[in-house]
Amino acid sequence: MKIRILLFGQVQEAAGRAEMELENIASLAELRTILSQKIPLLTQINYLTALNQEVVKGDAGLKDGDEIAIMPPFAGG
Amino acid sequence: MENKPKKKSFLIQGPITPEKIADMLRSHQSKTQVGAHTFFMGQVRADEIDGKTVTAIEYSAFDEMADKVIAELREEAFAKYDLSCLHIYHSVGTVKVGEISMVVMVSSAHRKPTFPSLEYLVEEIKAKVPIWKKEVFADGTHSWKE
Repeated sequence: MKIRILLFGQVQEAAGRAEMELENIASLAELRTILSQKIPLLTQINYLTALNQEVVKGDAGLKDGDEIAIMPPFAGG
Repeated sequence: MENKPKKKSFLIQGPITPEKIADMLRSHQSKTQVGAHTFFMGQVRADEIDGKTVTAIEYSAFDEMADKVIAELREEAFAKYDLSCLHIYHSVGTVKVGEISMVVMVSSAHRKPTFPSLEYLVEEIKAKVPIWKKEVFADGTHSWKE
């Protein structure tokens, strides 16, 4: 089971990449824990998580092919 | 090579030029039931941060989600206000100080619905659309803006 993670803004810069793939992660909560170890910036900022382009504030189960976006605070305009 | 037609996006590479804005007006001259257009235009400001002056902003976006959220906001605006049409453009890439990075145009038969709908759209875009910006300084350094 594979998921695709998209990184944006300063998170992308901190990670040095725009995308990654991870395997066998059951939930968003588990993913957030793993990512904050890989990208320490995530423990310092408020970010939003989108699951297949829908913002999810709490936890959710993940399935094969899911796309998760890690999004720092929006700053359009 | 397959040549797929590009899906229409509200995102524009680089600044939104005065010519583009003039074209927006020109293309409405045939819409003779419209009596009012109200515009918001966001211009890149030469802010000073820790003694350094901003020379440009580099915008990036989660394109697909941004277009999806904009489509939802358009539907909401048409449901809430009596509008004839509305147009939204936002830059991605580099926009220099003094250039325009965002345009919202709302049009209606009369002026009244255009004012609250314009404010509603601008605030919703800022709050909900996945766009990021970094301020670029003259010395080549940058800082992310929230």
